[in-house]
Amino acid sequence: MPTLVSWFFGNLHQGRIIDQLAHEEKALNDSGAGHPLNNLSKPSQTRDIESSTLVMSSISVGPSWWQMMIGGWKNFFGGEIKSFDKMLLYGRHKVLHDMRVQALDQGFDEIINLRVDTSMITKTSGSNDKTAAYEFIAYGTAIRYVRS
Amino acid sequence: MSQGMHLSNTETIPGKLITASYGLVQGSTVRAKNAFKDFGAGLKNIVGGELKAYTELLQESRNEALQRMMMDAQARGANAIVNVRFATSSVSGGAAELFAYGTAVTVQ
Repeated sequence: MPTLVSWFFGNLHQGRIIDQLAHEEKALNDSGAGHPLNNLSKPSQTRDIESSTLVMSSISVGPSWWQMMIGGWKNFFGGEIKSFDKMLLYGRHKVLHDMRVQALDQGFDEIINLRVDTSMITKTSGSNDKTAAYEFIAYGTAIRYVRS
Repeated sequence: MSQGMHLSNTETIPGKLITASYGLVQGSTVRAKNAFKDFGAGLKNIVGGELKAYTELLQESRNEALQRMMMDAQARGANAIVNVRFATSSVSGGAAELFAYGTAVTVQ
């Protein structure tokens, strides 16, 4: 019974947050906002730099019980585990979108050397553990060029 | 960043020159969420999605680790840390270890 609740409300809730993020990303793209994120190791321009700082964004996401159950079965048969994909893709997109919004809001010209790390956080307090969380962290160096 | 220390995850602080290097500095924390919020996160796993309790926990811990790394650098007389890297690992019992490390330098 809880797994059916998980399936129904999980799909509902996750669908909602995925749509919301897609909507925000589209709105940002439609408004003509730039793409300040890159993973170059040096500033892309040779202009003088006014300031730079480390910036980061992170999020923890988790699949629903239903998705973890499907994932468990799929593990047995091998192949792509689509049920996990959904939330992991969402987490990664969200963290990059947040970095982009942060850069645009704070007037950074670009964020270079972007790194995105994934780590798994689990709660192992005995058997039948149902908590799984994946943390995504994106960090880079934000640069503001001297306004000429 | 606090304490007036420059941070960067590149090899240099963009636009500045490194004049001295003080070696590797690091900061780490292990933090567990309080039991009620952890239980809430367990319930949240029924539907999945963002686990705000863990997001906050890990962000606070990361800032703490960064502060410790900056204090380490300041003690050596540095005014900047370059090539900052982060590592997160899961410790049993719902706790996470956050580790930040970089190279302490003086820049002008």
